[in-house]
Amino acid sequence: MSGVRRTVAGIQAGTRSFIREPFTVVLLVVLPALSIQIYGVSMGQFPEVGFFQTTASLKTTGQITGAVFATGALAGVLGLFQMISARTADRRLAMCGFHGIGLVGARFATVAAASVVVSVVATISVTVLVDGSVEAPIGVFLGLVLASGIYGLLGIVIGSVLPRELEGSLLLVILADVDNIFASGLFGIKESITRFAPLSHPHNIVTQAVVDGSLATEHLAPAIGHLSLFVLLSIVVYTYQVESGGDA
Amino acid sequence: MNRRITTSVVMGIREFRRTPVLIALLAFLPAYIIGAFVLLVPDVDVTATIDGATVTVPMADFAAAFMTSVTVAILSGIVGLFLIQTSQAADDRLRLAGYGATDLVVSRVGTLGLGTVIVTAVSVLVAVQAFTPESLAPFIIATLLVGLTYGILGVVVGIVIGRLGGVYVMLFAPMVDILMFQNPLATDAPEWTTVLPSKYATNALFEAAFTTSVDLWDFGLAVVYAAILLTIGILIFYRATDVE
Repeated sequence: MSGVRRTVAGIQAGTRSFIREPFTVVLLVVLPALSIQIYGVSMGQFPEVGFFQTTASLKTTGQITGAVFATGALAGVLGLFQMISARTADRRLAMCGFHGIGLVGARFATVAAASVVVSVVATISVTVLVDGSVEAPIGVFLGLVLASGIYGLLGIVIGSVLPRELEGSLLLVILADVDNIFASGLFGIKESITRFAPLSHPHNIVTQAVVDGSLATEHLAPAIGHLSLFVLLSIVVYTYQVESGGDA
Repeated sequence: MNRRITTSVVMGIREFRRTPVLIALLAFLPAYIIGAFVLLVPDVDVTATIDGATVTVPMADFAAAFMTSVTVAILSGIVGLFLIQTSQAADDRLRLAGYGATDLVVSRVGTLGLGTVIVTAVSVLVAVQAFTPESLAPFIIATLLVGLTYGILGVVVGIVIGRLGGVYVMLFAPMVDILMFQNPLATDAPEWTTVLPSKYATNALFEAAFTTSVDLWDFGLAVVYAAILLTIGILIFYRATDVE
């Protein structure tokens, strides 16, 4: 079997195992919209003056936070469970002659495909649900796809290093929740610190696209930097884990 | 407690001890969340509405108390979710081996309670390094109630929705419920948020943290909420394990 066919077979198997759980597919479609609505309502209950420093209204900031969080977290959990569920199968495939890089490529592609789907759904939800018109939906999509890409890869890294569902989920959930709070600006933490939070730059890209209708180019490079870092990290840990037959 | 239940709980503890990564995470994650917020929030005072009264407290103290409840809810929820998921096969075998319905339910609730106590103990220990609650014992009890509520919710979600969907739900639920809707900084919370799981337990927690008075009504309602949730959980557990 050629390398390309092997990768395609891997992607198909990963996608099929995902689609077989219809509830998960429904959650992927419903949760972004639900999250945008709930975060919007909840942020709208805070007083507009005094504490929070946001460029958009609190309700809009809440809706953007909900969209970024839902997109990132969904992709992250998916990446994590992809890695854990495919672990044994991938080791067998490695024994059959599949290269670690090809296997991780197939996992990447599956997570990337799911990330794009979630990002499209979330972009449509943002465009429909956010108050006023969204000037740059492409910018919104770009920010969301970066958030889901970063977290999908983070899920792959955690799933490779910590291949147990309870421990992996605990770590991912905590990281996603804390990252989301940092990115949202809820607690007024200094930007010099929050810029290291993976969701912070995608959050800013989406915010600028919604509020100003422009692309936040100054946040694009750091977001791509985060993405590249996680690409490298996930390739290293996953290939090592599959080819060595042990834990990364 | 009969020997069957004791054995089952001891086995649960032994399994827990055999996973050092889990123990390390349960010790590290509260320190990470609570510690990070205490260290990083700006050095300002915030005005919060607690039990109808306006209270001004340092932001770091507020973050410590607030993140304690969020941390305990997230960790207990995920532990509850996987506790039942991982023990389902064993429960079916124990049933075949002669365990009764009550034995199984009491032992699993016991293990869940133990997990929640550990999570609460670690989180409170981290929190009190950052601030001193006005009433420590009620603060601990309220934190434990938040943990129990979310632990039971995790069990219910785990049985009804399954692992992947369950993690999704437990990822969002504590954030939305506690961080957003039970936040004392908010001034205009919608009426329907009073039915959310952590409403009364977090009320009790903030009162214990920042006021000298403790409203027993909040504690009572938090216990009633947890008890109702536990009853629902037991009914779903019975059905899932087909013990009756």
